[in-house]
Amino acid sequence: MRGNYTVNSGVRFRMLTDDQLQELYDGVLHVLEYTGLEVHHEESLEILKKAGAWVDGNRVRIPSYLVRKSLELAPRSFTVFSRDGNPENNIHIGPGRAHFGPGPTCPNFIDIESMDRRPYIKSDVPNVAKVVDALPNVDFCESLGTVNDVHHDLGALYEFAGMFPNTSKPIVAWSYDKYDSAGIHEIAVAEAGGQEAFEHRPNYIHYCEPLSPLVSTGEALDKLIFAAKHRIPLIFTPCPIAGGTAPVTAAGIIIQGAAESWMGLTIAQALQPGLPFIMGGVFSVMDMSSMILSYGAPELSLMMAGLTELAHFAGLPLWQTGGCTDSKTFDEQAIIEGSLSVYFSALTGGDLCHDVGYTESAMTGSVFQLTAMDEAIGYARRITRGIDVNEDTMAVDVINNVGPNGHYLREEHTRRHYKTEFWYPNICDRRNYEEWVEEGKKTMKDRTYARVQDILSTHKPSPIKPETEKVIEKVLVEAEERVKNS
Amino acid sequence: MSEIYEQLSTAILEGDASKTPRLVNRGLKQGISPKELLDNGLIVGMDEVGVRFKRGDMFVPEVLMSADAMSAGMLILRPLLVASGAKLLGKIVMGTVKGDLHDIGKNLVSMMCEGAGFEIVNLGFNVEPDVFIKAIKEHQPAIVGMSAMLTTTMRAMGHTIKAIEEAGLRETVKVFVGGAPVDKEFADTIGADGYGSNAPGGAELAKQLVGAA
Amino acid sequence: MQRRKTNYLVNATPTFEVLSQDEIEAIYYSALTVLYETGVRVYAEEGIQLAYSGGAIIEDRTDDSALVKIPPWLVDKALATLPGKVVTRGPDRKYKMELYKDAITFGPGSDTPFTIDPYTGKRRRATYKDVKNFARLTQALPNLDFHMSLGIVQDSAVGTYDRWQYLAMLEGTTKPINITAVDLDGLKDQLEMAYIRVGGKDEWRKGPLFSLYIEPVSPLSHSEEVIQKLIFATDNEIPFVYTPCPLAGATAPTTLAGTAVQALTESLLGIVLSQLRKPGAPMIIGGLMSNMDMRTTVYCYGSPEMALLSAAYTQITKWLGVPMYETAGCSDSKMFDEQAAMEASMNIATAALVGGNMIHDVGYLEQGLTSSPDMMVASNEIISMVKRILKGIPVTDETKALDVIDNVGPGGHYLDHDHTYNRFKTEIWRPDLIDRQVWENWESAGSKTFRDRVHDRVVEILEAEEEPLLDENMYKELRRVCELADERHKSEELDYNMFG
Repeated sequence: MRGNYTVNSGVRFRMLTDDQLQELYDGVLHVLEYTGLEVHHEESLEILKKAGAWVDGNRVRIPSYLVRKSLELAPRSFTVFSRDGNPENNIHIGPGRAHFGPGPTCPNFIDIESMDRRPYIKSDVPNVAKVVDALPNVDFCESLGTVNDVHHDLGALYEFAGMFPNTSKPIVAWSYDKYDSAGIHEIAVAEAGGQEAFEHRPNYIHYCEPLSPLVSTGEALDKLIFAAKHRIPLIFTPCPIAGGTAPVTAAGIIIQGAAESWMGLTIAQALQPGLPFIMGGVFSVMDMSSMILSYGAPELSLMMAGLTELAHFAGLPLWQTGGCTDSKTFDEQAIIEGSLSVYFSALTGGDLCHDVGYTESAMTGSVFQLTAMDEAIGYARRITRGIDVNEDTMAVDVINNVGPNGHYLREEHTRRHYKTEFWYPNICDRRNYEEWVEEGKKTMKDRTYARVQDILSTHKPSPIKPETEKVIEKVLVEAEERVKNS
Repeated sequence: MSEIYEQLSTAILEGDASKTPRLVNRGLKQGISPKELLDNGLIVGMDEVGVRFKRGDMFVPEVLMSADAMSAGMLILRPLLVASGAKLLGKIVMGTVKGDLHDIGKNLVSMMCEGAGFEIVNLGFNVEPDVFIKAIKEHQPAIVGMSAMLTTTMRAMGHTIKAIEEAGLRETVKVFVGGAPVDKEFADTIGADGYGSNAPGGAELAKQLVGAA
Repeated sequence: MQRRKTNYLVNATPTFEVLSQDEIEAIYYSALTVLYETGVRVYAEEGIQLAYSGGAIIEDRTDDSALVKIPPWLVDKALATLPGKVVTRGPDRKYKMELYKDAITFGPGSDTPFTIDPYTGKRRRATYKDVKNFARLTQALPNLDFHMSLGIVQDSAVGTYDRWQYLAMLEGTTKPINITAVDLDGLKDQLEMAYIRVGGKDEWRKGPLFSLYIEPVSPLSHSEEVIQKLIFATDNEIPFVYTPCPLAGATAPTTLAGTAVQALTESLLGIVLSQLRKPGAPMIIGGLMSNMDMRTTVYCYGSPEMALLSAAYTQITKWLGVPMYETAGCSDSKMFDEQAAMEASMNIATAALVGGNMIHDVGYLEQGLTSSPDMMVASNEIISMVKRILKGIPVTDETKALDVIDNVGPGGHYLDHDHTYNRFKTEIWRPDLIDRQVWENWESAGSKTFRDRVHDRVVEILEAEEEPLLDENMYKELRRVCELADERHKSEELDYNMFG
């Protein structure tokens, strides 16, 4: 027995000190107050003006007290619920918890059978959702692609309609415009049992994107306002490129990107105080030879870690990025880049880490990458869970009983701990060489392929309510009608 | 009758070392022969353990609990089987060879072989060739098992086999070897009868060597 | 304008910890309990006497061993003289391995029986040529700071392979080496070889040419050979790694904290003996600490528990003030594939984050049974990426770039701004084998996978023409030591070739 004993529950990781975070925070307030942003949205300009912002045409400058008030209003901790009431699939956003899921809008997809790259189509959506639903370390769903074989204005709607029945994990819904948003919301509300029920237990998150540098577009704000009015938890996530649309330095890009998010925050909190608001997004470097935004660069992990700590310092959850790659194929590079970003995401406790399953710098979605990353997340989570140090785990008596040259295989202590103390892989292979040869020298790629096929042929997601199915049909018919006339 | 077999194999599978001997005694009281209890109950259970372990559905501590249950049952059955003249799997003399203190692999194989129904004579680690020879003479095992973790001590396996030959005992025993740096080719080179790439494989191999699998 | 802020704490790098300060202490004091009450078994009279003369309790004597129990005060006394910084240098004196709190160096592991042939891709027993090739890879890879053999030379005599192994490494690299020795005689020969290579004992003192790997056996067992090596190394100013390889669940408690307690007990015995023999003798502790996979019985080299426990143990060594022998760049996969990439990425990142000092086993596959040139080259790239993250985020007026943001303004861009131009080369990590081309260019360049590119690099390094690192006379002199050893130990060999 000892006193004054402080333990680490999990591991502890810090990219920046509080002094450094205070300086970044002050930098964001400085940009919002002195440089300001362009806001291309009349209703938002009105809201901002009324709240106390300085509006000059489209240029909006926000005094720091107003930003701090908005930060104060937004919750740090809240829950997004599974659509079927399964508590295992709820997401509790709050300090020290990292969640993972795919991203949206890749034009291409890795075919589930042939593993070839081709355009993303409508029938891919349910497969992605099923894989998400089955993977133990993936917590929320996005579609991994933009549907190419429907009217181009309706891609987002078809994605949601395809995902919602095939996973009870919360969906992060992306949309083109406020019409999509309305359709999506109608489906989610039907399942929740009405708007009021939805507000008490929201079952999806809405996603929109401002432009870098420092522009809030009309479409983004349309969606933001829709979400705020309907009290839908909101992600407002810029995608600045260091050296392209943002300063090349990590501190600079973090400040600029946060300013872009906090403009959205200020509008949202003015309209709907206490709206769950998640700042974002994808902060990385431009590869100076291919000019792509790198989804595998070490700077992605670095900048996202800094951004996460700034968000938490300011009291907001973060839309993290990881599990993605610049590789064109399922290879070691894809796994190195994905593993490192997933790991750092887990270390920072970045609340919702998205883009798991992106390949080719976000041009191609892959459930194989997603499934391999599920394994990497499991691995990372075992590390971040840390080590329990107490009298039982230090096992002094057990060591004494076993003594020099003994072994622990038959100890009761071993039997009690081996299942929880050790992580057991799903895809990684630990058999000896002879057995591995006997089984056909399979690589991780082979085993990942097999796992995906196994999930798709056996996994049964919990169904949605029959009445929601009807609502989905109706929403799609109405939407087709609308685009036909436009 | 089939009920007791099933209960026995289940007790083995669940690694229940207190229930197994009770069931063995009950079976004997019902007039079932020791041989039948062994073949239709205990061994059926251990075979299933082997299948499940290989599939990845069972963990080492569970397998060892099953092996313990098996041993507890055999404690009652062995003398009866001997008395009835039934053929037993026999003894294995096990040791980690001279110069090597890495004992865990050999211990694991020993436990697995014990679970398969063998009687184990465990010589420990850093075992000189003449200690092996003395044990062969004393225990008259069916098999000698040797383990090494280093290439230098792998050499000691070769020396030990040669010593067994020179003592005129090589024909009386089968020899199997194992250990991380050991492979089939090496086992053949030094004239061993078999090589096990891991502990469950070792138990399987031991059964093959005595013609029981 | 005041540019430098006061009262301002900076993370120049990220910080990472597994254990709290209290947890480190708890593990240490538990290890002292085990060392005092359970004791460790020592199989060498010299070691038993050394411990006894210092104040240890000797019990349960057998023909060849005794149980040695060390009182806590004796450990304190030993720790007081234990150096916190250990340095070795390569034959090319510019290559240094400096180990101290939070200093990070990377290198391979040693003595794998098998290797993957760089040309056929087949797994086979390692040879002299492989060991030389691995040394050449370390020489060529910028992120590897020290070398270990990776393979075991198995086309020489078995009992003297360590001298040939050292010769093969000296032929391939001028970086510092961590050697293994089959026994005391092997260690003496290699020291002689090192003196030949570096030019005598005085040169050695300026920076020992090698450190020595010594491995007691878990649980709590210290063989005669281990103690002999420890004493010889201590007497001859050879820094040594005293590293048990506890296997959680098999040769150590299943709980990682328990494994740390046991490993520390084992290492503390080494610390006490070395400091009793010669206060100030340089040592490195730590080693491979991992778990047995309870489904397959293998000793995991790629598990998260390995990375986690090694990181926790690193913190303990930092607290004790002794350099750590960390582990990373290794995998349980049977070939260099995506699994190997995943396991290496996370264990390299963890070892670097926690500040593990002598991070070894880069290039290991298959639970340390097989070494892979591909794995080595790929790990070099991963280390490079992780080092970029370790540079952290400087927060200064310059990097915050508030004026630049203001200057560019909404809707502008930074591509041709001086702030970008002056910094992009240092701010943006440049990949070597990582590919970032757009699809069309990648496809037209042959759709190569990472494995293809890694392999091309391996071949490129191995086929590069190089001046020999050893001149003919020195080579002959070194070879002579090996041949004399073969001669002396001839009678111990089998009368046939063990490896076919």
